Amino acid sequence: MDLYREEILEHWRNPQNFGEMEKADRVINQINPLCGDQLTFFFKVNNGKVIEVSFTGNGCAISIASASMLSEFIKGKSLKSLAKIEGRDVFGLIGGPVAPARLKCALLAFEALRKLRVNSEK
Amino acid sequence: MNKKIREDFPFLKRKYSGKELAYLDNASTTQKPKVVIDAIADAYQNHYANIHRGVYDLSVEATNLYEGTRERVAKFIGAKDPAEIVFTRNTTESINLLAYCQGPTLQAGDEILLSEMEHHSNIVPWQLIAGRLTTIHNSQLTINKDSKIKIKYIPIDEEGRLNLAQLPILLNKKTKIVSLSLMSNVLGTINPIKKIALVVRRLAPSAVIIVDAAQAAGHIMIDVGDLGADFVAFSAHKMYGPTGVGVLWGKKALLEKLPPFMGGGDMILSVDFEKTTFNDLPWKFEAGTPNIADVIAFGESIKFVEKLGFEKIRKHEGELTRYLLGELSKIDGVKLYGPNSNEERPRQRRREVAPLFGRGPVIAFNVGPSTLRRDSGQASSGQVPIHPHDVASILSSEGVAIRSGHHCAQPLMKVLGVPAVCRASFGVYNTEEEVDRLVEGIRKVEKVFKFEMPKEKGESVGLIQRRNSRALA
Repeated sequence: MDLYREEILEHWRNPQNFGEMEKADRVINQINPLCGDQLTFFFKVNNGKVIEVSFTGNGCAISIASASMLSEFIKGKSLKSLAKIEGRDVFGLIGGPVAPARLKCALLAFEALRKLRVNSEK
Repeated sequence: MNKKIREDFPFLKRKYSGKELAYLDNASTTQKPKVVIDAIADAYQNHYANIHRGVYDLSVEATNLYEGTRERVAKFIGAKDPAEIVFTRNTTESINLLAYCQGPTLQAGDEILLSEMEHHSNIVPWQLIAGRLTTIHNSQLTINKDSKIKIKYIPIDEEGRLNLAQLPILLNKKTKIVSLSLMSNVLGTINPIKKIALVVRRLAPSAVIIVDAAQAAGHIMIDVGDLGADFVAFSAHKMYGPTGVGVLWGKKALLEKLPPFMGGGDMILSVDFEKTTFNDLPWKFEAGTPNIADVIAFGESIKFVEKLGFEKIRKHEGELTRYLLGELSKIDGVKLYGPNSNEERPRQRRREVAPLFGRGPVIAFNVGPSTLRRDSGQASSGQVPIHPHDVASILSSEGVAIRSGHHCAQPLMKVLGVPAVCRASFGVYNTEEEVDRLVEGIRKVEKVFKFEMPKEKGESVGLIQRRNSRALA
């Protein structure tokens, strides 16, 4: 099955930026009601830039790998540039489209990021 | 079960990505035999009119067919009177009807007893009732020890059986509702309702006993006279019938005491500007035009099940269950949930096949090198179980349909200490070959995720070969 490429599996085995963060500026909880999977993202934001990011939670290989990849991608980026990220960019990151049944898994981390943007705009 | 039964199900002819689909998600919903599909078309083509209204012949015909199913349901579950059978949309609506109509009689200090293995549909309606005296904040409802109406849960043991020793501690005179599933939709456990009902009557004499039989219907006999409950709820769609038809059976005296559920047409005898006289049972609870054609077709699914007979159904599904449990327990990387021992098998049930007592055809499991969870704060080095979604995805690509997730039983997942489980569940048309394909699919998961599942002692042959060699020996 194409979905489970070695890169995805490597991120699943050893997720990047995995763990809680003390003194985070923003903590965002994201739940996938389909399966009850849950991710918590921690952000440190300075001068409109994400300077640190980490996450914890339980999820399938797809949701953990996409969270890991997304966390690497957004570190150091300005909130402004993150505002331009769309769902399809996430598919670019994880290396291809995902079966419809697994979209919610692949986009779980992205939904958390979206909340960060909405909250930051306020 | 003979192979011919598969011919009754048009769906099984369908190929999925070029492969035959092994449909092992019968606990969610079952496929429909041709007789049921035909009956829906026949109802619309030849017998369709609104019921209980017209004086013309066609309306009478439709009414007779609709009421005919009610009589059939009554016989099917051993109810004394068809008036005790209320049609709803599904089990969820049946339980909500009870919560909605019985709930207002509860007072501060009263208690509701459920179990840890309940489906959300047998938890949330009661939380809503218990929360009646609570304000809801941010779409969140909290029921705790300070709540005016308390909800208690019968705990489960390591094998997923109810811990009945707790009953005397959990029950008291304040217990007004006891609502339990007959068969767990995750663990497959068949709960000894009759035994529990006797204890409830003694320790909580004013409690009504409700049975969620959604998972049991079509797999084991439901005899409302024998169960000792006051209400029983189940759905047509889990027993080869159409979606959109649920049943609520209740003791006549208790149904009569309940206020109506929804108001509207058909549930009244007469309406004036100032007052309304409600209709007799069961129509008092059936407001509005019901699901006429599907109720009529439900009659055919009952006939279908009755023709097979529960002895045959139980034997077939039991053999598949035992076979899958056996195959899965040979794989060290697989963790099984639910009853898998035979300890509590009473004498008179000895004829039942070994691990079958107290268990239905629902098998929950997880796949992985260990059952360790990824603890927050530290990524454990690759030692995490494969998430059920990943297992189900890979199985799907092999043409095997199982369910993965929390199965609408999140509190139970918490008790089991996992976020989710895989679940295979059988119906009358499933075969040993399909079980083999499931097990082979799990081997594929092993390959994709590149971890070594411990092989059986010195054995490295494929599954099919092993089965053949067993047959030869």
